[in-house]
Amino acid sequence: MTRALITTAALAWAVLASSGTASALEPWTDDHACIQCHANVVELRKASRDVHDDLSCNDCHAGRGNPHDTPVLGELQPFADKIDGKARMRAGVLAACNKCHEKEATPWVESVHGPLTSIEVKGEQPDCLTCHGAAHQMAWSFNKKTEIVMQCSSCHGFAGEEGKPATSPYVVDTYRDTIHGRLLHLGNEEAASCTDCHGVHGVFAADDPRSTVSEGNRAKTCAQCHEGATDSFAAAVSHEPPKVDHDTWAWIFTLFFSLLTFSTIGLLVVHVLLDLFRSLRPSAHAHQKEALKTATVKRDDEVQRFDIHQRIQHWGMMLSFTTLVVTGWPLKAAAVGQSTGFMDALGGPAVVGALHRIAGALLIAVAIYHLIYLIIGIKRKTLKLSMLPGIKDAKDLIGNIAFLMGLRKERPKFGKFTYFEKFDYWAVFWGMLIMGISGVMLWFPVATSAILPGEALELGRIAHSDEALLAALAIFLWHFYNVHLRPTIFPMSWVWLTGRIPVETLYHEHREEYVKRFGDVPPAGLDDERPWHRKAAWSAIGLIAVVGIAVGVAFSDMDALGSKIERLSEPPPAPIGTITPAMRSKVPELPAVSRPKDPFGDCLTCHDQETFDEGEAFPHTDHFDDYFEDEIDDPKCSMCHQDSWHETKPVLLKVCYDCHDAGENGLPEEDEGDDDSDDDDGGATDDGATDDDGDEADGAATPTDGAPAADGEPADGEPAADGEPADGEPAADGEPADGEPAADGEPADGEPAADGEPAADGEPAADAEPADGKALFLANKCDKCHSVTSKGIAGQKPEKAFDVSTVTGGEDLLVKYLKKEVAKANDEGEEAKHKKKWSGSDDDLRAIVRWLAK
Amino acid sequence: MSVKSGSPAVRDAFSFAGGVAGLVVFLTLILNAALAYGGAAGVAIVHGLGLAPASEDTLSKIIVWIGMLLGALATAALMIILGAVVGALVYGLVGRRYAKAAEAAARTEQTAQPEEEQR
Repeated sequence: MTRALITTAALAWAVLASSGTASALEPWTDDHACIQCHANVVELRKASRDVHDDLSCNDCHAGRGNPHDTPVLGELQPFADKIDGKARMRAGVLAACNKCHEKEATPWVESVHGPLTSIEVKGEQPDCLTCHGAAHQMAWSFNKKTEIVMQCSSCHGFAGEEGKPATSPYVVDTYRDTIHGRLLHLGNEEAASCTDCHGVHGVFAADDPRSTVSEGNRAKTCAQCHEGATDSFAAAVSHEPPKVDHDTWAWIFTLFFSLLTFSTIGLLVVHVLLDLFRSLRPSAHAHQKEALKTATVKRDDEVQRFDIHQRIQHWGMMLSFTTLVVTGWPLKAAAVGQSTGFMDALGGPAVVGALHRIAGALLIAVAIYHLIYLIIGIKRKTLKLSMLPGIKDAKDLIGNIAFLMGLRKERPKFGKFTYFEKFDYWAVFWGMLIMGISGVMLWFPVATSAILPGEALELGRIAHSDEALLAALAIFLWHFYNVHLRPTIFPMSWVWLTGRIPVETLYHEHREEYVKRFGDVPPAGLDDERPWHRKAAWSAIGLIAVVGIAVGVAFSDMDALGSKIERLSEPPPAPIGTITPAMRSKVPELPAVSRPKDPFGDCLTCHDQETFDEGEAFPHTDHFDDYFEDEIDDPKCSMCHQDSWHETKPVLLKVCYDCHDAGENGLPEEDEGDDDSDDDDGGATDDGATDDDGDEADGAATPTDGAPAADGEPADGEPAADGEPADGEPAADGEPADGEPAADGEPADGEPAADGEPAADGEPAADAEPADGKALFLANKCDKCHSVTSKGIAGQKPEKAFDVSTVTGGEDLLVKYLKKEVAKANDEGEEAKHKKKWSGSDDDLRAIVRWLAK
Repeated sequence: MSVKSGSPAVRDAFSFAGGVAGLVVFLTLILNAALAYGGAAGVAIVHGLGLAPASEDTLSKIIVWIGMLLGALATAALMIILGAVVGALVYGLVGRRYAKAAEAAARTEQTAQPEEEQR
């Protein structure tokens, strides 16, 4: 028999040793011990779907031994020692992660971020949790690249500020302004994020040869996505904004296109406004007096202006240009909130990109078509180069401005093409050249960089983006006004569809051309009343007014507009500085019940600096040290800060009386005149007079009942709390010794026998031991956590109270258990120690246990 | 030179109706986005000219405001014209037939009137 036992024990030991766990032998190496106090942390991990849910507490918190003695580190201390300095928390975090993630942790320690952990950098000391989230809620990893950018931005978006990384303050802004940043912002997951270029854990400074963006490695890094990328290609990317002395050409291009857009659009808008106001003057619609002689054509007759080739070219350009604007603008203005939704509505960045390229190809095809058309026309002498600008156009411009300003009665006699039509034509010519060339460069960046210096790509991007803005404004404001919205044309000239214009229009707008065709006489019927023209004119004016009113309404809320401008004015896109660190934002909201009561470790994730680095400041520092030094009554955050995390109520001084005596550490006596009725931590509640809500507590004494038994002075009706510290040294403690036990031994009546009864009958307590146990139970605030329904005690918080009516085990075992000397199986069969250690006398403890067992 | 006669009133009525529809779409759905995009264009100009951000500088703020205004007008123009083009297409598909029928009816009426007068 003995041999069998020895054999079994040896086998058990061998199994445990080979499995690497010794839970049966080492109380601190399984979760059971931790759960005694930190049960809610486990709940939190479950609720958060912690990715580490297969790990036990000690897998991270210690190698062996009590983690409170060896906080976080344990056998990992040697590794942590490599990271010189700062705190055990940060070094410990890294050490704990390194246990399984050495492949990631080792390069991280050597990276630019690693040394920061050991340097006293106020505020920003990265460790694993900085990017990967709170230790017990690591429910989420980076699902989207935008979250990587947000995470990096949470430190680097503020670069240059005190306590922030010493990288360029523009790194995030310039990234967001690149094609990568814009595409990523709009949801294209194929676009490069920070880590695609800089690496994930092994991030090194650009001048470090190990860096993925060092001079020697850049091309290789780019080539991961851009096959065949060369050093020239890689040179296109910069995290510095263009300045006079840095990226000079880019700076010149930006300034040039901005000036060009600003001045051109400004002049065009002035011209449009002059024309519009001139149209409103009565003389603009004055009828021609009946001419003595008229032409053979009627004014409603139409003449051919554009042939089919010209119209096809216009249709192609109209279609491609509109598509290019619609598909390109969300990318250019990626910072605008609507862009993402707009992009999604169009099919996502990939589809939009494809459409943009197709439209670009169509536009180039139209341009080629037009060039061929010109060459053939010139060769066959069927085409006059009437689009070429000349001196007459300058004269017409001056004359027309004078007419529009009312300084001249008649318009100049324009030829086949007016000066503003010629402007339209050549602006498109210029735009096609710029947009076409730069578009092809951006379409084939690697090939371009093989021919041109890499910086040319950035110049191409600036030209493409800025010229697009100019072109869009020019077409939508200038061209549309001239051919659609002018009161005399509204809603549109049909020439782009039919190729024909009315003779009347030819007469008014192209007099020289008309004279050439029909002589210097007006078309027949020109003086007839034309109600439609007037209607159209006023309709146009009405519609423009409606748009003006709408815009005016939008502008009427100047505060909202101001904030809108501020948002737009921030570096693109705006939310830098307002983002929530991605990891934390992803932690799911937990049901209240799952919140940990004592999330000490989680609190430290954020509060180690600001809360605990207070030097000698009371109270946090002292309690912080206690946490690691005293394994018994750890003063965790929630002990003072209630059960919630950030809805913490102000810490009342009375909280201190839960653990400390009056006078201890200078803690003052409680004010006798203080109204304790609404106090939930000490005072009357502790003596059972009121519960948390200020209501009378179940089974507790009230002044009307006479004083609680513990007081032994029912006659005066004073509540027990008066004058007594509420810290676990209740009056009852000393009373039995005086031979004045409180209870009368009749708890069965449902009314706490202790309440006043003994004093009433004057019987000594010595022969009423069960009642004594009850009084002690209440006096020691056991009812704070427990109910004893069999004896009519509901507990201070009945809904949470653990009923100990059927507590099992012998007296000795229970005494040891309550002194936290042994663990005991709970209802679920799990071994656990009692949460609080008994701090009173053994006699009192035994009295309670006997009373409970009875 | 080719000279053809036409009746612009009916077809213009169709494109006019389309333009109004485009305007309604603009006012109800696109105005905010147009203001934002115009503002973004203004910001780009301010940035390109090297001016201070609009939140700090009045001139920059004015440029951004103008950008917003032009953005709204330009987009309104685009929508009105798209509406007008749709109206023109509808005219091409349906309206022209209606116009011809109306023209024929008017002609019939004109010819019938003298006959009645003669009687």
